Amino acid sequence: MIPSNTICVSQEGPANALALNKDCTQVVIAGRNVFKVFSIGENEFSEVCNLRVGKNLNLNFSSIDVAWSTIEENTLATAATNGAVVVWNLGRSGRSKQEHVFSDHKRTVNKVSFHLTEPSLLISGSQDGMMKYFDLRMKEVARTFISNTESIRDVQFSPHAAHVFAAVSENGTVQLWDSRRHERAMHQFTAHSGPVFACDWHPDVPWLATASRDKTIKVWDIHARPNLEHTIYTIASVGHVKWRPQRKFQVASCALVLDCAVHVWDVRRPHVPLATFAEHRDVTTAIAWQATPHAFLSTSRDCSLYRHKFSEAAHPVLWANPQAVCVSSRGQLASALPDAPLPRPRTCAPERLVPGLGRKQPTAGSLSASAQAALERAFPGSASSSLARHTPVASQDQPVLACAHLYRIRGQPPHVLAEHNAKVARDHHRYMVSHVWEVVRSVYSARAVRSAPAPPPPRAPPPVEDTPPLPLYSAVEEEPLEEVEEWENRLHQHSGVLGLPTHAVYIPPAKYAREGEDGGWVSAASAHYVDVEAADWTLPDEAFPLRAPPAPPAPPPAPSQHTRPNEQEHDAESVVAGGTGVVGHAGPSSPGSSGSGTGSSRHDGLQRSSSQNCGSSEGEGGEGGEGAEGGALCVREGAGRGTGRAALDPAPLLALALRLHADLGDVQTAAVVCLALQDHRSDLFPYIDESLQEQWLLGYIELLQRHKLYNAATECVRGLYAWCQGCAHGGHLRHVQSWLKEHQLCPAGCGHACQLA
Amino acid sequence: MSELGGCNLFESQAIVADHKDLIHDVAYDFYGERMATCSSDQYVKVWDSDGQGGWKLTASWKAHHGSVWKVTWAHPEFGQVLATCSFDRTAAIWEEVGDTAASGTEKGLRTWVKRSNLVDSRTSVTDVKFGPKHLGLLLVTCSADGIIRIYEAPDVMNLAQWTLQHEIPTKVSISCLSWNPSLSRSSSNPPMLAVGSDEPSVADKASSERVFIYEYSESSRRWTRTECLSSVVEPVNDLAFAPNLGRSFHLLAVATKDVRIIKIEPLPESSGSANGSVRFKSEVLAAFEEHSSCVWRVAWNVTGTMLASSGDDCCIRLWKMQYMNQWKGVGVFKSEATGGEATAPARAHTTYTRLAPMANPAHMPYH
Repeated sequence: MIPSNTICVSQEGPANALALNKDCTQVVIAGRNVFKVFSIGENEFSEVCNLRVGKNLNLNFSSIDVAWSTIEENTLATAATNGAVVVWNLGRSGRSKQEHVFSDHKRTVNKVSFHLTEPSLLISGSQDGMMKYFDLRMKEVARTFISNTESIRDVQFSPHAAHVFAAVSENGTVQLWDSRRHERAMHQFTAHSGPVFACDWHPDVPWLATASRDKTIKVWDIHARPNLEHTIYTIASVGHVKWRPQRKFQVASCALVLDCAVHVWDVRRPHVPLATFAEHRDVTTAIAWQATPHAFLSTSRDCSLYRHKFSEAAHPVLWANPQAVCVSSRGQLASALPDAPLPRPRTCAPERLVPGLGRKQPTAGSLSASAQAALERAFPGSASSSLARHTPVASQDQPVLACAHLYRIRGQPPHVLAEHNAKVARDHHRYMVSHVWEVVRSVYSARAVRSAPAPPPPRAPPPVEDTPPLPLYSAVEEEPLEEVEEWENRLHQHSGVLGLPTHAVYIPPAKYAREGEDGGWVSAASAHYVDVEAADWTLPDEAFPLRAPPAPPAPPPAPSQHTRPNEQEHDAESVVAGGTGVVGHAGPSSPGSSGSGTGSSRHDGLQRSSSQNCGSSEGEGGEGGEGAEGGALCVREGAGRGTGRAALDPAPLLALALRLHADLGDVQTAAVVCLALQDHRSDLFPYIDESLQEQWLLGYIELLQRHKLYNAATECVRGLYAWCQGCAHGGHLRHVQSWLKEHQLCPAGCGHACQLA
Repeated sequence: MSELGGCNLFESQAIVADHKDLIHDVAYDFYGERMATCSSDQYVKVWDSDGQGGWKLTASWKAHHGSVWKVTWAHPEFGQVLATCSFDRTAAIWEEVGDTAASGTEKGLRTWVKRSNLVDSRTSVTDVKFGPKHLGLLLVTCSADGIIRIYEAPDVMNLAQWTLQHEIPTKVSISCLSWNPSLSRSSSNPPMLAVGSDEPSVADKASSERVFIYEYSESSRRWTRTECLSSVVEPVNDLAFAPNLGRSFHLLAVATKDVRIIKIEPLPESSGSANGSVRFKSEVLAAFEEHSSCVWRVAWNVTGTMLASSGDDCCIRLWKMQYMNQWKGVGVFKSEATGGEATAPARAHTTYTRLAPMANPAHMPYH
């Protein structure tokens, strides 16, 4: 069982410094208002002595630094803010342990250090830029070293050469002095671009670590000429730095500001701390290893004294994300994976939260000793990632993009567009998409056909029989062509949504015109058609032409197709399945597609049976039915009756299909079908509200933009463009709509009284 | 079949990134023509595609004083703008200066200028993401101490000014977040964020959810937590909403001990608007254990039909939707570990990986 961290919170105030005695059983902390000695127990600190006693607690007690002799059990020294260096003797009887006060410095003393082998020698570094070498036996200053710099922040004797000490100063320089020669430093070099706050000699190799406000820790090889070996980059000014015992490459640091945590770094991996101790709530003011690599003590401005167990470290590398993956809009995949992944033991959940004042890091203390050792070994070598990209040889979006290029969404009636688009999709092996288009095609070709010839009661038989009655397939190819003609004619009147298509909406096929029947014929048709159109944008509930049997005021329409043999004329109920136009391309690739005639619609495979039911319930004659056998896919129904027309509404099915494609991530189909429906788009409104349609459109446009298919994207937008036929002004449909809600006149200010059809 | 097979062939090439430490994030821009990488070495690098399949380093700069965790591109409508977040407790906004249009052939490195530094966090900023374009220029950050911050640039022409709009405390350590990219502006689809927590599992802790959904309420002008996904109880390393593109539901991929795909379906307004207790129905569509270890990253393709994930097994795995909500693994990229040679020479080799064939191509509507 690992003993938990040992905490001591002092009431008197924060400590600026701490020092351990030579066998690391006791610790002294010193600050402006605190000066105490504790003994370090396994689980607690117990106060041994409070040195801040006496009548006149002058500034001599206000300590910046404290040092404990590494030889003499009872000798302490403090550096005071008033420039005094005070020597204390714990062995003195009586309450006051103060032994001697050196008042030689004129300004604050930042640092005191005992000589490592000579018990009577003490050195100090001061804000006045001088270092003084005190002889404790003579109680006098043996030597004064003048640094010629602004101020000395740290002085440390070298463990490798008894007479050498290093001094760092606020102007960023490091000086190496021979303590026997006070005239000038042995070496002086600029180490940092900002003040150097601390230094620490490596216990085993001649390395000196320096800590600076420039947020770096630098490691210098002090062999002959100082040479920069390593630079560690931290996130804040570094206040203190201490090498970890028995670990050649590891050094602990704490920040002067901003960062409350103590970090242990491996100098070979200079950007990421190996271990982090985030127990403190305020910045850490001092750290000292307990002569072992497994525990250290720290004091903080939050008034606490901590003993940290290394085993309870948090390891930021373990919760830092070592991997990266990204998929581009072109389908390319970029990945960065570590070359040498860290060993990742199953992190066991800590049974208890380690006590701490500050916020714990995730995973703190979750590693076993062996796992931690493995991590320490692997840590420095795991600092490289390999970046790679994986490009699909054939872009997965290629079919979509090719379709985006080839799809037609304007300029022709929906079923023609649909037929084209179905072919495009099929060519790109997108059979399901193609299928949807087939469905659209059959629905709308049926409708176009039906709504066209709302014939007058005395119906003249078409002069020419295009096709023999039974083999329906043969008619397939011709029908759409006719429709194109019709639509191209219509387009002149119908190209915009605005405007008043109240006249001559529909021009019958030329062959009917030949019959000289245009007059009444056209008006009847247009009456019906206008009704439908009017519903487009304003009255969605009436938006289905198919559901509007009352609308055609015309006599019971006998919508037998012009191409249909007139044998069915009176037996209109048995018109075969809107035959030609619809059956169409049930072709090789989309065996499920089917069509129905006039009345309603098309159905994909799933719906076929239901439509057949409708049809049969109408009790239509059977002779046309024979023609539909053998998977001819045409469905008979009583198209002649108004009731028959209302039998099935394709809109919900279509809506369902589009939703399905959207849910499958195929926004293209959903959006382009909506566009291609043009005016008929409103059929879908009860099933797919406009905002969703807009969402599809926006999604599709974004997709095209990502591929920089701006032309295709612009086409989409144009689909929503509406203009007034009267004054030729227009804009985005939505804008025009909202404008016309409140205004009568054209938004362009031309004075025309526009109306939204 | 043959052409379908061709679709699934990937050509893999190593890029010598020359980052001095781990790369934590890779981000493509809107068009997939630029790529940014960020690393623990505190550098951000930008790579541009030359259009012929090659990538050229065009910028490299020291962005932070700590590990740079994430890098992300703003929509190109706002210019060439990057956001980064770092262990040094800041997030930064970078803008490329100079003529970006006449680039490509130009030599030398392009300059990125730090336009703003967001210093509100007191702990490591773990993720940063730009908001959906139609909400304006929004930026959200989250930090290890569990605070989500939403910034807005009121003037999109002035990237130096960011106002902190919302601060949402979550009380758990947040590792990742994702905007719902839905294009819908209707009131039933308010701005939505998903955040994931990497808080380690503690046995005696009551609240074990790791993924939270936050939504912005226009009426109260506040972000509120509307959902905790109870299906995810392990620490979460990454999460990502799939591009929505008009789906009737949202897809959220979560990298935790496995790869999860979670479907979040908004419930009709009527059922839960009064008490506001239940807004969504969530359902785990898939949980893939193939990484057999911790999963670190998930990334969607642009239509939300394919998911890439990477885990501690050092494999990139691809998952695809086969048919309605049936997900299946279709490919693996293995990294060839070179064994610790930090500065590997340019490995200009190319490997090809063929994805697993589909069970039935007819079940793939496209792709």
